[in-house]
Amino acid sequence: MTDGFTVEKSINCPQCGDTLPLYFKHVKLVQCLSCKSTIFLENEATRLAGDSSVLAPEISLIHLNVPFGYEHKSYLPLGKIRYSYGRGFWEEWWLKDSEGNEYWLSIDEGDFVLEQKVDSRYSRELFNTLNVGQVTFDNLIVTETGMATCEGFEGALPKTVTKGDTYLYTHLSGKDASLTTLELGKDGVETYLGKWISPFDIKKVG
Amino acid sequence: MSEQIVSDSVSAIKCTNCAAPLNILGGGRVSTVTCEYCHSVLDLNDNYAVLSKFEKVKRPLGPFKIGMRGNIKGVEWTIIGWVTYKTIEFSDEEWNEFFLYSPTHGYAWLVYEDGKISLSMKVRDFDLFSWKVKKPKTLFYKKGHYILDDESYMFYIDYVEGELNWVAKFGDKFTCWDYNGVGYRSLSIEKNINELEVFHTTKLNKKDIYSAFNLEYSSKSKTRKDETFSDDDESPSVFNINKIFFIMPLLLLILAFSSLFYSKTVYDTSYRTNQKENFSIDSSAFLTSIKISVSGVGTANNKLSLYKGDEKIFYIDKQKVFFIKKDIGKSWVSNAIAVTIYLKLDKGRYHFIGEKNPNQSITTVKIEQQVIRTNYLIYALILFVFLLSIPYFKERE
Repeated sequence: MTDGFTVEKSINCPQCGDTLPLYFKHVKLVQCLSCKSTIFLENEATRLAGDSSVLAPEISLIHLNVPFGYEHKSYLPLGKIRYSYGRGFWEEWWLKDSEGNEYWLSIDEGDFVLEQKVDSRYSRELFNTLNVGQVTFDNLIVTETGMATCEGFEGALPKTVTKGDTYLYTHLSGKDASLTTLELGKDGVETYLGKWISPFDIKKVG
Repeated sequence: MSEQIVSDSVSAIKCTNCAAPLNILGGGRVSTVTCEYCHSVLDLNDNYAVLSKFEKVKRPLGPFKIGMRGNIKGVEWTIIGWVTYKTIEFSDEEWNEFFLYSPTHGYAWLVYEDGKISLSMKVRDFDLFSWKVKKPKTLFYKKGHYILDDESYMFYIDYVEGELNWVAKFGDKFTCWDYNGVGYRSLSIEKNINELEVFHTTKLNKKDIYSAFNLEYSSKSKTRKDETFSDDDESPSVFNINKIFFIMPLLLLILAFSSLFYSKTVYDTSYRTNQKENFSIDSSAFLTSIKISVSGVGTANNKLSLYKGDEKIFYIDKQKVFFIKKDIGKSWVSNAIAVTIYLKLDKGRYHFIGEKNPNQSITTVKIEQQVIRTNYLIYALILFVFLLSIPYFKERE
């Protein structure tokens, strides 16, 4: 148990046999803590992926399986994906709160965005027309567009990612300082809704 | 003066214009570096191509240098860039902003102006949509109240050195709206040709920052401009708010004290039988008080009616009370031997009729004009101090 977060499921690594505790049972992809093998989880079965990623260690306020506090709530980081943008990178952390809700925390050199996945109402075609500064049909302003390339992952994830995968993304800012992120990948448009948070508001738990 | 220059996590390159060595200290979002020797602005996203060149080569005075590291608010920062700004209206008004980088907290600015030091960070969660529509004089951000400091002003870039996460050119102009809050905090909304950005700034203790950056702090480290104020100076907004904080209670106290001497007795007589008396009110300032007191037995039969001309404007006895301007509510308490009523009377001539059972008691009526009710002032004082202390204690938390 990690400060209020319980292990919901355990599996054994098909490569080294070590036990892998999972804090969220709907995990689809996990990296073995011992041998760093990438493991797919499908219908209670485990399968080794062909390639495993090893991310260079970086200084971060957030650490895998170490809970942190934000606005009177605790969050447990379950996994992270690192994306590159040429000279730098940012990380998308998959979190769950103490009530089991899922979140994504994007960290880009001090810029923190906490978001939740919502039903998408945007079409794939929208990505062909969006430019920075443009106002969308639902009165959101386009503040950033770009392409992300996956450099690898650590921990557990609710979706499968492959090193080298790319997707287009767009940040849309709302009137109440809210942020909407659209991602266009091979499975279509995914929409995430959330807000900017200050790294100074992130607290240690326990 | 000692200084600590960062030696790790540095990538070294050569200026593509003059071949001088350049250290890259910042993270992946740094986009330009300005050579300290030839003042060429190099594009880090395009093989260090020269974007522009600063003609001004004289480095401004300032205590900080690129490469210094220090801990501010528990975060280790490295100074990676330096920008000097000047206001367009007053060219001798300038300040230096040192660009800070932390791998965990990103980027911030260490602002050095007239010897004062502040930490400024870009905020992303400010509702710029609403601000652009209303441009309010006062606004709230994260439970803080901020007041627009005068009008907007314009400034331009006068000097650049080191790394930035944007492309800065000499003479680039900005318009700024400063909103000042309590606790040495302010919000600045800056607009240039491309962007509209918001920065939250907190004043820092100069001595602490000098210590954090391994700088020797002494009276000699003060610049010429420092001599006009001390580190204990407060920002204009804080000074204004604190002025209100102290002056308002003082005014209320003065008002309460002066009320003891300000009122004027216009009638003060005792009577044993029914009485009709005239009196004049020559000032409508504040209130008129009518104090009725009874000695001996027979208090229950005392009645008093007040007239202006032929019109009855006030009446009181032990059962009921009436005032033409408003409902007074409670009357004279049945077992009380005195009552004081406060009425808002206009200037003019009045008369009252006092009715009672003859010879059973002595009734005294005292009428005073320009009376200030001190109990209201005390309530106002307590409420004022309470309301103003809320943000103060929140800031301290």
